[in-house]
Amino acid sequence: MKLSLKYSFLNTIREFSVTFWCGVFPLILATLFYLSFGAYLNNDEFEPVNTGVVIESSDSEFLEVLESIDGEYINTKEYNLDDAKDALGKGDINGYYIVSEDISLKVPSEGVSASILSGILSSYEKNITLIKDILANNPENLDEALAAMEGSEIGVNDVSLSGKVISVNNQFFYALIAMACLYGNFLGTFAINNIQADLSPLGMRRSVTPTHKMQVILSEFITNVSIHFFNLIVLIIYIKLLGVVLGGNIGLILIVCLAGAVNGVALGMLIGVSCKKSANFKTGISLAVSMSLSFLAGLMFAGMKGVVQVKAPIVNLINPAALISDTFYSMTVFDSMERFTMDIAILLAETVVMLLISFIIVRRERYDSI
Amino acid sequence: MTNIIEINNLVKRYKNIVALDHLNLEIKEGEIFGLLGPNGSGKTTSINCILSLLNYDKGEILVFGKPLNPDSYESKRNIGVVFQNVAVFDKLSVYENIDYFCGLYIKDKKERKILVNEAIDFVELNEYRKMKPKQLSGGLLRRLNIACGIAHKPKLILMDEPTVAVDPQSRNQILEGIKKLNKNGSTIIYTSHYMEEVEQICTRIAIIDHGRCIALGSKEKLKGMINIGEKITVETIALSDEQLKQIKELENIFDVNYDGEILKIASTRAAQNLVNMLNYLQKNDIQFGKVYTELPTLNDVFLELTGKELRD
Repeated sequence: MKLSLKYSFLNTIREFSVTFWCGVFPLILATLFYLSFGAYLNNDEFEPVNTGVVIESSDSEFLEVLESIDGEYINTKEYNLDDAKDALGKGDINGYYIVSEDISLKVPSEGVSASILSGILSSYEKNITLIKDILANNPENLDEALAAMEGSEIGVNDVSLSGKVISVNNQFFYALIAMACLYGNFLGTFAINNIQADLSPLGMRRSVTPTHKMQVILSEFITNVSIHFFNLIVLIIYIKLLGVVLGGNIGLILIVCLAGAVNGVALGMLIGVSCKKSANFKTGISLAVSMSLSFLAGLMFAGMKGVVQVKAPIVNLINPAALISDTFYSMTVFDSMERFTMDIAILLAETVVMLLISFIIVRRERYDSI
Repeated sequence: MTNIIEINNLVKRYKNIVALDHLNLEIKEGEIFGLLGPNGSGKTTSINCILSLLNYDKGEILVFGKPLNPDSYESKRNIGVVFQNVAVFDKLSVYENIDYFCGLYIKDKKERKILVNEAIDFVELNEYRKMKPKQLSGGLLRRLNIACGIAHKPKLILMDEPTVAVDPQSRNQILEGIKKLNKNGSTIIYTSHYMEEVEQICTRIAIIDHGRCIALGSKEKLKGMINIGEKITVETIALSDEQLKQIKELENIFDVNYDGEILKIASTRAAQNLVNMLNYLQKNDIQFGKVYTELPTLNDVFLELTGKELRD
């Protein structure tokens, strides 16, 4: 076993493509994420949005609302319509409101600034509708309602019951870590390619040796998990250096990395043994599976996990990428360890099932053709 | 001698193609047993069935008297395999590769070290022990492939065309090595489509075509199965049709070919064939250059049994 581990380890770490995809590529992606929205990584770095105001009717209550949040969420400046268009075109402002009998908003495209300005307007309209409704139906409760509105804040944060906040952009990094964990399936598939007789001459030679198949699989598994665990630790250190808040203590983060690594490698082994195609085809399948699971966990679109939660919650419950991403979310947001523990338990249970299936398929395998 | 391998009525199909057609073989302890046949005749399929890598449709295979299954670890401990394709780790050195594969059979570290060094000496790769497979030439790579298969000194060694794409010098070294392995006590099954190799090293030979064993025995026995006893070649020009007819009518001669420069005669087994031929040439004042005779080869056996050349 020791000898198998030693040579399996040497053979894997000397393989450039595996080292690149599992070790280097996630670091490159983390760097790209950081360059894309590094300024918005953490909420305390929030900058007010430069906003133009075109006043066509000065007796609107909306002007009072804008004044109350000026300098905090937005920086306002008054323009006529033509100047506002120019300023928006030059990028001096991120959008402008036209205040007349109806309030309208002009923003160039979607984005964080556009969301904030749109949120302010929709919040105002909702409150006005509410006040009109109270005046018409329960005028005696107006003072109480106004006091409640006064206390409410306009924000862009998800706020948990424990009061901890998490930036939407951090979730990209959580999904990235989840994706990196799943990239362990390249290692798993690579290992199976070298075990299965119908995929490589090396697999043929190993199949005719008197070594128990479980030992072969376990030695490959332990080697690849160790290598991938190291890769993930490097990624975590790098992401922390970039200033991303990962939540939890280092012990918990290491547990997540280990659970992610074993799950990723076991997934690759399962793909390797269950797909009866060439080694290259299997590598393609591994890539497609890890990217699909990462997409569903919010790697490309932060809101995707929420959509999945509404439409098909079972997917989030079994998708390893979603579970890994969720461990970071729960470490950051929740005080209780219940959700974290559940995520880790599901990841490990999936790993055991995938390893057992892989072993059963490989154990007595004879092929129809080689 | 006891049978190391018994193959009874083995049938293997790849969809509609019959790769092995009721194959029967017995391989005895201490033999170098040759499986000779053209590409696609079923040699490699036979080997893979013996090793329980392939499912087969019908029949029985016994190795060391027992069926060999993927988890027959005790039997596998006594088997070494040299596959047709080089089966080594690209990223491990020569020494590391042999050490790894030997380690799958031999657990004792000291014993393994001795065996690995012996295997390296055996295939003469001492000066390359730290090199990676990609740095080795084709011949050296084949020798590494062999070392990985035999380092644990197995009782039974299956070699599937181990000399494909090997230079003549390496080939001779490999063949001599196989004889040495056999002398040291290993039974060897050797597949090849090179009849010269099989003739050179094998004690018993099975000729396989279309998955069937069409002839079995020692090389002498196989050659005795055919009509050709001697082939006479004469360099001569301007033979007339009448002369060719007369040559054909000489005693023991059953086939004559002439292309205007070379006369090839196939004769049955007899003592005076060459003398008779030379007498005829002198008597008829026919000028000739070189004259030489050849004994029949396994290719002649194959040609006569199947009607086609061995390397078709």
